[in-house]
Amino acid sequence: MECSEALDLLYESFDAQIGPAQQSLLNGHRRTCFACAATLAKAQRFQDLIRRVPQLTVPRGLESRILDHVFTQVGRASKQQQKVVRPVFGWRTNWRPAFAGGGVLAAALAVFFIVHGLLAQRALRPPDQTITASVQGSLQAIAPDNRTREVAEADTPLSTGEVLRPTGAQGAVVAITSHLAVALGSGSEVQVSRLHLNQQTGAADAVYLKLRRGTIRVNEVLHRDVSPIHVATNQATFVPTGTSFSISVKPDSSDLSVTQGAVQVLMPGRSFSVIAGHHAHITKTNIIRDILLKPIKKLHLK
Amino acid sequence: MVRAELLSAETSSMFPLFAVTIPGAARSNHLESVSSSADVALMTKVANGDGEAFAELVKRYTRMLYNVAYRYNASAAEDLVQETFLRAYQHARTFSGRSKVSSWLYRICVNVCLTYQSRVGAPMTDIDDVNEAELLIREDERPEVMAQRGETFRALEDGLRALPSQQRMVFILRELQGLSYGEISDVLGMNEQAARTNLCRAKRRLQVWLDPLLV
Repeated sequence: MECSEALDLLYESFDAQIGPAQQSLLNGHRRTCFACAATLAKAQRFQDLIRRVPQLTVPRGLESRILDHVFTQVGRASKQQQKVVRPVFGWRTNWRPAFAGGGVLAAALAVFFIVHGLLAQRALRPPDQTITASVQGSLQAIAPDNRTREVAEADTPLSTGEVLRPTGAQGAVVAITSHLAVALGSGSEVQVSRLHLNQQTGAADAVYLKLRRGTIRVNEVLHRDVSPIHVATNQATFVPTGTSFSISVKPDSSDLSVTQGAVQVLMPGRSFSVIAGHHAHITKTNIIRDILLKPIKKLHLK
Repeated sequence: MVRAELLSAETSSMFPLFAVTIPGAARSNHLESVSSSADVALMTKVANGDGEAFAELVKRYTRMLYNVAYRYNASAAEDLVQETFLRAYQHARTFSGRSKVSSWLYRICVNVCLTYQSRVGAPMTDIDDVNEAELLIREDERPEVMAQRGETFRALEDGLRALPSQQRMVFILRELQGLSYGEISDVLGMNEQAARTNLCRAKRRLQVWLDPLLV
């Protein structure tokens, strides 16, 4: 028996997928082949590792977000029990082969308009959630309809689509929840691209920010949530895992510095983690990462 | 560490009924048991536009689908699960009762994941396409470094996401969700032998990727 066959057989034996004869062959190979003993032992440890992989818990509020999404998409005003009204198409009941072409055309147009409507509805989805945040320092909050308000050392409502611009030289700190605060550097600009509330507590359970300009520093205390905040730039999405980090953005690049914990960076086609004490410079074509204060190493994207 | 905390904190109250679909496989208890008649009754209500029934469906199966979607594509997991339930709602009438609701939802979820992957047009990096020099540079992602940080599972997840789509999905369904080969065959539309072959290939690649951890 080849060693590679033995490895496959071992994998299948974990699944109880091999018979007594194959099991006997495998046992014989394991006893006599020292060349693959280490590999087979590692396969056993690998299987043990797989068995210990935990099941993830659902992010807080996901179930209600799913219901919101589905009922919004199917055009339902409420989640109350309703009878679905299914339109009856006359052309279907009166269908004749001679009109088949027309029927197909009508169906195609109907599909086009339905899909188009859904996409438009999704793209133009209005601001759906508002939370109350506490602002230290001063900033300008610009609503999607361009209404502007000045906020200084006060609580303020924060809604999806709003743009925040610190107005003081020291920037501003926005405490979103008791365990999550973002510090906006002077001259920076951040858009609240998505907010979701926990229906029970009224607190934010998902916050998506788009950093348009400048620097943002995120401080998050460890808690039970799964990645409650995502910060997106044109190059990547940054997901903290209980941490403290800052991101600076320029038109063609983003810089991430992690001072505590770790941040997962999600990009099209790849993801990687940056741990405390490390820095990453990301452009469309390169990721340059280094240990802070040490020589830069360069990683070329394919 | 966070995830371990989550696990210890969670209880089985969400899914009071567990079923073992693969004899001897501990992983199987992630699938809850819903009898065929209960499945059909629930789906009939959903198909008739019963919002309460749909909310019950979401409550029962969100965690199962989230685990698949997250392991397939962490950054889009929520969107993938939402899209899965949207399609399930819109096509509830097509549920025939010949398969379990979980299998039917898995099938939708797999289609949503694979469609998403092809639509974004950015194929995941194949583990075999990452050259040695690049692996050396990505030192803070190397499994041995992750192990030192107690991030064994994250190393596994990173390796998983670098697998080809089909191998990744077979691995998720079999090893992490505990589906039988018959169910995988049904969900992915491949024969059982192909599922076995894909799983062996996935394991070989992952074992190489995780080699420094397996000492």
